[in-house]
Order: sequence, then structure tokens, then C-alpha cells
Amino acid sequence: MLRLLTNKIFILVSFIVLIFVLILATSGETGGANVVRNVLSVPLSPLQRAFTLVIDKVDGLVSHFRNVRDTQQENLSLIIRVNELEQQLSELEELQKKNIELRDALAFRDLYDDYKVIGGNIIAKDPGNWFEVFTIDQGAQSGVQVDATIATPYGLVGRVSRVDAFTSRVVALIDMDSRVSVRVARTRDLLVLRGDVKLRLEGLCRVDYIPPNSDIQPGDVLETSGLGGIYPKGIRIGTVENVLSNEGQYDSYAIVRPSVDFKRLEEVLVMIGTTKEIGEN
Amino acid sequence: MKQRILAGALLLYAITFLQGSIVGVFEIMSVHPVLPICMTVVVALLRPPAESAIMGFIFGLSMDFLIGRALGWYALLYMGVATLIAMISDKLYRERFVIRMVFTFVATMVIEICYALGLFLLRGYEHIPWMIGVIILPEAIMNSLLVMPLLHPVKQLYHALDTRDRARNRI
Repeated sequence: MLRLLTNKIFILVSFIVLIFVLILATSGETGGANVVRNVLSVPLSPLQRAFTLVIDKVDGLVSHFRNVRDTQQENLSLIIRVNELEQQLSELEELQKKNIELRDALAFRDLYDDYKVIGGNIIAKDPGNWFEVFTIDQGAQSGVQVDATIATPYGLVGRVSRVDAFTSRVVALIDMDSRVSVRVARTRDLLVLRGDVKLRLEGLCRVDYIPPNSDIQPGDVLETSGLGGIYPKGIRIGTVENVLSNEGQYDSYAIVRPSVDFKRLEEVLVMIGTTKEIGEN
Repeated sequence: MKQRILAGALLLYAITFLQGSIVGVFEIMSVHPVLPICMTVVVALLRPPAESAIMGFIFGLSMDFLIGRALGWYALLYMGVATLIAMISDKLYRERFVIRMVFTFVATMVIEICYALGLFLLRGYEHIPWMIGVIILPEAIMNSLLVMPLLHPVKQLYHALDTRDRARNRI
């Protein structure tokens, strides 16, 4: 019997039979080997839990850094895209503004189709602090003449005082030596507008010798009267800001804000041919 | 001599171009500095009276051309001021920036007040004190600041021209 128990083949066969018995015993879900399982799982489960927690934390940290890197890259590409779009928007706005200006210039040209109207750019401004003169890039070569009217679609700018081959010098409306015959659009009164040294710094000018029976009021629009032979009739000049009386005098004077902003003026229209010449023709 | 004339002409063109375009941007209370006055003072501090008078005349004439009115007002004033400064600058330590600033300030005040008196008073315009306070004084202050960086480049230019002349005369 002892010999049989120590026989290796017997031990092996017994072991295999035991394994089959264990398989049969634990094959169902309600198998009775839970005690054996619990021996392993009970001490292991906290360790597994702790290990999984650590793995999750590490994984979370790595994901965080990965997300930060991806977010940075996405942010950079979005910033570049936003800059491109902002630039495109700015260009479109510029084009839109230019479109409106050109349409207004075309409308102005159609209004004064007796004149040859050419565009000019301001290339130099008054070097001193006394006068309001500037230089434009159109001269005798383009047909510009002395006393040619300079305007924009929004109002009168001045007149040409000197013409060189490729440039011309323009005396602005608000220059102290400028005089323009104007008409009040509402009341049809005829007045004379002139520049003033003090008012020039604020971009304003004045109308003097307003008779007492004149009904000019703040807000009235002034336009060229066409008298004098230099400026065509009907070009807008500006609006009356204030009407003040001269002390000890019967007449009044008015402060006028020109329609044109002389501090920001960049482009002008040159009207070639004066009303005198048109009258002679 | 030819190089001196060429250098003078280039300087004049540069000043005229800058005054008509870039200097106008530096506007405070609708008043901007006047570069030809600064350059006139700098040349008068560096050169003898005769040369200073010629350069002052040329700078003044360029201002008259740019303004487009009667020629000669600024030419005369610039020439007079340049001559006076050149006559007394020998006795001063002209490297000091205070000298430059004071001379520029006084030169601007004298030139512009004389110009205003000649132009406006003769027309019956009475607001001379206002013009001095609002236009001339700010211009003088701006000019005296603008003159600060101008001395050294002009001095280098004249030094180079003088060196060439001396070398040529030696040969």
C-alpha cells in the first residue's frame, strides 16, 4: 500500500483527478469554491485598488500635460487665423470706405460735368504755423491752372495759388488770405467767408459783415455763390456754428465749421476750368 | 568747394522734404516745429559768420518757397539771426546742449515775432500777444527740443568737408 502511495504515476493521476473534481465543483456561477477565491481576493483587492488609483492619477497627469500641449498648439493656430481674419476684415472695411468715397467723387463729377475733374493727393503741408497751404501732386502737366477750385465730394477745400510742372500749391478755405463769396442755403443771403488766424487752429473760419436784417442761424448750411468767377456755384462749404454781434457795430459775424476736416485731408478733387472760362466759351 | 556746395544742397533738400512731410506730424495744439530754424542755429554755431549768413539765407528762402507767398521775409530774418549767432558763438562752449536750446528758443522767438509783426500788424491785426502765446512760444519750445540731436551729425559733416579741403590744399 505504501509502495502504491509513493508511486509517482499514482500521485500524478490522483492530482489530475483532483483537478477535474475542482473543475466540476467550481464550474457553475454558484460553485462552492468562493472560499478559495476569497483567500486570494480579499488580501489582493486593496492592493489592486491602490495600484489602480495610482495608475489613474499618473494617467490623468500625463493626459493633462498632453491636453495642455494640444491646447497650446490649437490656441496658436487659432490666434494666427484670427489675425488673418482681422486683417482681411480691415482690408474689406478699407475697400468699402474707398468704394463709398469713389462713388461720392463720381457723383460730384457728374454734378459738375462742365469741369474736368481730376484727383490729387496732398504731398506736403504748410511748413510754418501761420498759413493753411499745402501741395498736391497735380501740376501744369495735368492741365491745372491758377485759381482752379479744389474740393472734395463733401465740400470746398480752397483754390490753387501757384502751379508748377508737377505740383500745385493750394490755399485752403481757412487760410487767413482766403475769401469766398457764399450764400446761405436756407435764406439765400449773400455773404463773404474768410479765414482767421485764431480760428484756423481749430479748423474754423468766419463770415463777416452779416447785416442786421439777415436771418442766419446756427446750423445753416453755406455754399458757394458762384460770384467772383473762381468757385463754381453750389459747392457746400460748411455749417454755421455761432452767430455773434460785433461790439458797437450794427453787423454781426458768424463762426463757420467747414464740411472738410483739414487736419485729416489726404485726397482732393481738382476742377480744371473756371466759371469765367465757361462763360466765355 | 563743389563738394561743400553739393553737401549744402543735399542738406537743404533733406530739410525741406522733412519739414513739408514728416515734421508736420509732430503737432501739439496745432503748432509744429520748424526744422529750418533749428538747422540755421546749428550751422551758425559751427561756422563763421559769412558762411552762416549764406546758409541762413538759403534756409529762409526755402521756407519762403514752401509757404508760397512773397519771397524774402524769412530769408532776411534767417540770415540776420544766423549772422548774429555766428558772431557771438566763438565765445561760448557750443557743445553744451543748453547753449543750443537757448539760442534756438531766442532765434525762433525773434524770427517769428518779426514775421508776425511784418505780416499781421501791417494788415491791422491786433492779436499779437495771442499769437506770441499760442503759436510762437510753443513753436520755440518745440524747436529748442528738436535742435538737440542735430548738432553732432552736422558737425561730422562739416568736419569731413574741412578734412577733405585741408588734404586737397596740402596737395
